[in-house]
Amino acid sequence: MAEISALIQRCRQGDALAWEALVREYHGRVLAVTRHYLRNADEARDVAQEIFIRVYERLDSFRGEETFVPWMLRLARNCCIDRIRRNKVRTPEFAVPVEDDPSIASEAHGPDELAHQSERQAMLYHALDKMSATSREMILMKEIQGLKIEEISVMLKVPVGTVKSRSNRARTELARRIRTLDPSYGVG
Amino acid sequence: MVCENIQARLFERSESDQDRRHVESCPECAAFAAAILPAPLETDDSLQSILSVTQESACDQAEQRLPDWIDGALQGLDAELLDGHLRHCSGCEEFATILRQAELELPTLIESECDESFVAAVVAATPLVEPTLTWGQRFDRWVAATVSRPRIAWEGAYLATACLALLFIIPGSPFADASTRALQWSQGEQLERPFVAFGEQLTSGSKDANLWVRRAQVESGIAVKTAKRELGTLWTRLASTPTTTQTPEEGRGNGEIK
Repeated sequence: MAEISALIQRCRQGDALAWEALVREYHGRVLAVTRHYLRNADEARDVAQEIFIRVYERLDSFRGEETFVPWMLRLARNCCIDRIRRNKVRTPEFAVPVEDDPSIASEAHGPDELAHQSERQAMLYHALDKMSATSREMILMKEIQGLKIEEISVMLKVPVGTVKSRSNRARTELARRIRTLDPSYGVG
Repeated sequence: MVCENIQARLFERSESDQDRRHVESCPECAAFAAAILPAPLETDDSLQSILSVTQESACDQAEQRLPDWIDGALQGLDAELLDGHLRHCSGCEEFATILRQAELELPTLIESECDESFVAAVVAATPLVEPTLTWGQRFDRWVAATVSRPRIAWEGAYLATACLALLFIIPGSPFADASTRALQWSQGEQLERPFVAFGEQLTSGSKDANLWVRRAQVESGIAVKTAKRELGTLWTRLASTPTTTQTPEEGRGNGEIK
């Protein structure tokens, strides 16, 4: 994978191949964000597409002082919040059935492993679904997307210390929910 | 005999796992063991009961500190105390394992396999959108696109014609009388404002030309006047001269002057 700054430069010059490579590289991250916020697979896909169009439109405003991923995820988060405000209503249940989306379990190799991983991921989704919105957002940004505390702090406009404590609380909450749902989780 | 040997080992606190299993199945040995050995569970229970009265649950506190401990952010006495707690608390040890495992598995929730239809839809949608450009970039792009068009020659010629018409043909345009003035200039007439379009920015060359025209006019005027004057003088002298008209016949006939 080419360096992101080179890809962005090419995209600014209108290189369609570079843009395709960039979408290919980051669509998973964006879809993960939209699914978490919107909780609807179809709508998440639509909004993810909108997000990429907005990223393309605003590539020139990305100056490179910050890294690309937090910039893109902030844009994605804002798009999702806009959509939620427009919809006014959230679907009450987490509507991303893992069994309907085999691509989630892509890193497993054999069918058994695939099924096992799908089960575990479904359980993770279920545990996340039971968490508070703030904790879920912290897990999404820090654990799933792998952002740094400082980057989350800038994105959410809260102090670093607050992000740290929220993150710890969210991880603890998630582990408790996992333990409740599947006491054998983590054993082998 | 077996019970006796086991009871002896129980008394010496050197019992094996096999001996413990025997104690569980043999009422006599179990009674003996209960008499001589302190119940470990009772000790744990009493410890828990003491701790529950004197402080909040150690496990709750350990769970709250475990994320930092996993990240390696817990140091000094805090880390030692948590290490000590984890050695004796299987529940917290399992909790730490869950945390570690979740940390490993959460990033897999991002799809790594490419959804080709999604990528195709995005790529198809985005070329319709122009990226936001600065004014300079937009101008450069416009110039490059315009110049590279095949019809640029025709369009340039049309534009040039339109510009010439605007400047030289339409009444009221700054160069509308340029051709007339150029003709006048070439014929040597004095111009009120030679090449009016240049206005005050007349070059020294055109000023010189104007002076040369004037001088030529003056000199030619003087020459005409001089010629007229000379002609008039001659005419007057001729007119004042007495005429002795003699026809050839008269002179030849009688030889008299009239």
